[in-house]
Amino acid sequence: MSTLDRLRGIVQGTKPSAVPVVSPELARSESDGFSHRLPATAEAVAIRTSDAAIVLGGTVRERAEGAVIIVDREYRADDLHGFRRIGDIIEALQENQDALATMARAWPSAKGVSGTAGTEVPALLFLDLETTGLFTGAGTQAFLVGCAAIDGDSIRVRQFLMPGFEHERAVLAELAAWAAAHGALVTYNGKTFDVPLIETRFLFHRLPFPLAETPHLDMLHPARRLWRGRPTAAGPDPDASSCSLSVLEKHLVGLHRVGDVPGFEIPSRYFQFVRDGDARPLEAVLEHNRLDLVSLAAVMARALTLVSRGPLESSNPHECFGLARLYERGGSPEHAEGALLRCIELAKRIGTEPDVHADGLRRLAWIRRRGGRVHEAAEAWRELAVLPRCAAVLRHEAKEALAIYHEHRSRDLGTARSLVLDVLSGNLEGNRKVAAEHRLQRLDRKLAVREQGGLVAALDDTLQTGQ
Amino acid sequence: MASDKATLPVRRSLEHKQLALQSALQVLASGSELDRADTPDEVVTAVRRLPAVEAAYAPFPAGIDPRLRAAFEARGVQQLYTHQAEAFDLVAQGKQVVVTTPTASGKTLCYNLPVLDRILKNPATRALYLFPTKALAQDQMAELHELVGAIGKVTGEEHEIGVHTYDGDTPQDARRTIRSKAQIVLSNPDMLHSGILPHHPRWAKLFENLQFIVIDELHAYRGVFGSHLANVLRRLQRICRHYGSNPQFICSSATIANPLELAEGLAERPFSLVSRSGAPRGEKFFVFVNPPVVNRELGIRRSYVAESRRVAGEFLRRNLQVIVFAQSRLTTEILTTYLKEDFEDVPGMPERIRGYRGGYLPLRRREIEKGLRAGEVRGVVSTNALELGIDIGALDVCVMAGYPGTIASTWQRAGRAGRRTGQSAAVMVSSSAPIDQFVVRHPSYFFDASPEHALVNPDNLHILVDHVKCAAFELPFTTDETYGQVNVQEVLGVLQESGLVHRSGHEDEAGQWHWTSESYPANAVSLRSISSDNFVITDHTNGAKVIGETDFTSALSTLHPKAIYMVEGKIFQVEELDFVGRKAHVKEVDCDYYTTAITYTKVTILDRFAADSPNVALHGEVHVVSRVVGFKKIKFHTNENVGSGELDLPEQQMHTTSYWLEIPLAVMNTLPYATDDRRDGVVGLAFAMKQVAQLLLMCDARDIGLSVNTGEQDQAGTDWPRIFIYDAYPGGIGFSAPLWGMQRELLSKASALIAGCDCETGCPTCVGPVGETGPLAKTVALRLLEHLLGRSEGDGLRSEGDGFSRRQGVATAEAVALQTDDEVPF
Repeated sequence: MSTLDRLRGIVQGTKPSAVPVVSPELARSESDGFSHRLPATAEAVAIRTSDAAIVLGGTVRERAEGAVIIVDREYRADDLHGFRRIGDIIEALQENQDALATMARAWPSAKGVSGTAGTEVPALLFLDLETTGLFTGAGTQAFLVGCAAIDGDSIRVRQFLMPGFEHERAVLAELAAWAAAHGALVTYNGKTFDVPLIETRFLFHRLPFPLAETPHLDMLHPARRLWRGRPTAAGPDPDASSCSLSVLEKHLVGLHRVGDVPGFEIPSRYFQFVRDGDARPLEAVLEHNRLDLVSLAAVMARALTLVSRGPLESSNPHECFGLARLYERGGSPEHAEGALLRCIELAKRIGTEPDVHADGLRRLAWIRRRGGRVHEAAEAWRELAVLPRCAAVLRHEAKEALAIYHEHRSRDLGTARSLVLDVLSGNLEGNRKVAAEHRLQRLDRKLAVREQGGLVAALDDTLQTGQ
Repeated sequence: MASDKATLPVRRSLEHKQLALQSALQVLASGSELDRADTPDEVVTAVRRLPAVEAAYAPFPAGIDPRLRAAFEARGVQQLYTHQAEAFDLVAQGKQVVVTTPTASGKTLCYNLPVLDRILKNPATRALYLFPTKALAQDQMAELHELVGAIGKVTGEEHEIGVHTYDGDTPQDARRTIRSKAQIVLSNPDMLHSGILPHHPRWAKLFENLQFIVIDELHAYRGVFGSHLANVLRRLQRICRHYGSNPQFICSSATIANPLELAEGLAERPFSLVSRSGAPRGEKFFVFVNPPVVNRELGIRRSYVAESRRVAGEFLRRNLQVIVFAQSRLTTEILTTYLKEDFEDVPGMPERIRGYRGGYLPLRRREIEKGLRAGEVRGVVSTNALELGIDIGALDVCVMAGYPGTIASTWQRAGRAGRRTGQSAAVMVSSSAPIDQFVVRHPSYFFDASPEHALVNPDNLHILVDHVKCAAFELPFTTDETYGQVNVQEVLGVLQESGLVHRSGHEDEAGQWHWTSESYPANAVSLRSISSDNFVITDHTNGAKVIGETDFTSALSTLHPKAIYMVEGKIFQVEELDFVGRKAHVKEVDCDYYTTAITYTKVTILDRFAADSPNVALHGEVHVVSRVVGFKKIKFHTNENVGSGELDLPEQQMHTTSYWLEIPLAVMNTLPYATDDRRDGVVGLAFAMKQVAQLLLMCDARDIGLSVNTGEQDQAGTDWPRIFIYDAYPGGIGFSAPLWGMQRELLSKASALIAGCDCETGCPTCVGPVGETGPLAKTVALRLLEHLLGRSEGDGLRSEGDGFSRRQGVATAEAVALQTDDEVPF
């Protein structure tokens, strides 16, 4: 057996997961395999690149570091993205600086993302990468860097496509230049994925990372707060409870993509392109990336509108609850309370959402207590304690909290005692049980003292008069 | 074992301790001298006295940083041992250094000293330490922290030298700091392979400033693990070149025959050796014990576990601190139980006898280690987990229950007893395994011969291809780059055919090979075995519970249907082997036997490497097809064969390298025995040769396979009998060529093993158990060896010139491969 045959045996014997996934329409004929047409000369490479640019509707920019294919698209004010007007999205992004400031307070890495008095409003740069893999190690590259920014009354998308692996430094240089012209970064899951990955690429080439100090709002986090608990009324979508951008764009923007390229297929489409130079399969990838960018802007616009206008903007108790959590995180408990009241009111009206109703009451109680308004907090606990179909854990918590209230604040020891007895009649375990029993003992002691209190006072009187 | 419940007397002075030690040794050696000639046929086959050695000191090297020197002086260290100074000087000259001084000779200072010195002089300096286990890295970190603390005291400033471990247990939030701040990173090869190298851009600071790569316990990296490490080091050095650094290697190893060769094979750089220790050593007595024969006919000896219990008891009773090494986790638990019975704890006092093995929680392990150092724990029974450099202080006695398998490891374990002054003892109690019997009956093999060779084969194609993939992921290969001894451009070309890499650029220029797969190659490569494929064992006694896993290669022979599978003393039977799902379903059973698989192996010669040599021994490439066809039931304690079963399992194929011995027909024909007896002789010889090969190669029983062609299967009826000893890993791991080179030693040691055995007609200690080999196996095997050793060249032996190998280049051999790798319960 020749070494070559042995090598083939070893390589092909490896597990299939090591072989790129290629969709049927992309798979070349068997004989073609992964054969690779190496261009003969530098000119041939250049021609390949310019052909690809033409296919994708872009241009080639030659830099000292290599070539980049740049594809520009403009989304004008009157264009629709789902059922949202681009112009409305832009307006929401620009008008709601107060909401942006709330988010920046809630997520410190976004500090500086909003304009403050006296400073210029930083230009937002929406960023989304398409990569050669999901693992953020040294061998995963961003072959497409998609950027979007507001330009007058349109959204301008600029995509940097790497014509071949050897051109990566050129793409990074373009990104650095583009980033320098913008003040803040907006991504979706960018804190975990896109930004560390692109940082790794700069580090790989031992270049300074230009985005290190740039304020960065990862919209995934506010989106999770606001929309994780959406009711699944929208249908049996298995993904409905997820907060992926593709789910949110359906629910919030009404965008239904047709012929979208599935995410897992994206790397292999690019690998195919570098092998044979045919850019046509990439068109769908670029379109996917552009839609992601505009959807990101749209989701952010919706979040800002909601945060800015407040809970009356929403008719969904889950969304109101999420909004309250966001306000709380952003340091506005008074707004949070308003959102919770709206959440409770909506839940009451709907009647089929006991969980969010209970969560709302619990949160409300805590916020009031933290604000020193113990009597109002007790009201919320009282409501929660009698809420039908409420989870037993929450009901116990409410009764315990009320017992504390009655023991220490209202000094109604009898009510406190009956609440504790009530709690103890349930299935309590571990520390909670011990705490409840302890409380009961203490209450009994106090009650005993109080009963004797009269006697002691009488005795005191006697002694005093005796003197 | 006498069941007297001894009580441990109170702590005595050093003098008393020496008297106690000598008295125990006197009892063991039945009053004989404590340094005497060997007596292979007695129970105590050897008693040797290794004299004390004086310390040899050297002053601190002139160039050493004054703060470092002051820190040592403040701790009362005024000078270094010679080997420490020698290592420091060699490192200062820019050499790669490997240190092979004994246990407890202050080996770690050989690397800590130059590393700390360089860091003090230039705080940007970075060093990467690699240990074979996480526990060793933790232990070293504690020692380094002490040193760093001492330096801080001297300088008066909070001189923080960053020393951190980086392994699977490192919390995520600490990792970023470690990557940029740690000056010394302590890790292991597996973490380097899958957690550091693939993320090298995040480690830029380390790689840019990496000046030292320290590899401790170098001898642990042999065979598959070593071949993987060599490739990880190739990748590491590639990354260092990318960042413009060129680190020096400092390695430490137990005493092996070829430390330089091993270090150079792993790091692919020229090394300098520091082997002369300047550390003092106390007097040590070394005793070999062979349990007495209880059944001469079957060659059965008294249980070595019971014997080890008796030996350990003699020392413990005299209040000497003892470490007992057992060969398996099971034996460890059993010996612990026995010794706890013999030395009952006093209520309210700390436990005096403890067990120690992998699988115990770290906290418990730390507690036992501390107890040993403090002297509260008087006896510990351990697996090889305590063999490597974990700090447990200086014990008085080491008892080895069974020969540890290699000379290197035996010295390492013996070194756990006795430090720099005072007397100590080491006792090796042999089991009835062939290797044990050979060693215990030939003490000079152990005491006077060189230790084993550690072998690696970094160019094993299977291993190399895996690492080329990882390397391509980490950093694109250039079209003129080299890697190892193979043509890596050819490898990359084949990877491209499968779409895993892509050559960029155009024909007219040097291009690069880029990784073009979304998979992460390091995830699919495990350094501890050649394939990451494994079988999971699920217990269905009470619901389904995973109780273990087994690598692919041994799954069929250990997890076939009806196989007995043992774990932690519990016995399970395999109910179903799900080959496709890689699962074995077992249920707990109560039975008094275990099983060994019967495997048929067919070896086909593909290529002869030593074709020019006019010799009966050859090596080359072979194709091995093996199939588990049945199993035997073997009774515990007596090792009787109590039944068998047939199996229908898929066959396994492998392309590997093999050494083989051809027995000329002329030799066969001169033997005055019947054909069957001649065949038995060949099988018996093969059995003995495999045991000896294992000894010579410093390898595990499962690292090599055995196949015998007794010569009859050939249609022409003229083929010569062949004994194949092959590398049991696809592609070969480098055992065959050295074995071929050592064939004379192989045959003469096999001869000594068989001739020296007490049994009458063969036993598991020499030519295989009675019942499997014929009545004359032993006699015929010895006659064969006489012929082979007496006439290793010349008359009657074939030379390659006769065109034989070309004409009959493909020979086949079929035989029962004798299963010896199952640990035989006692």
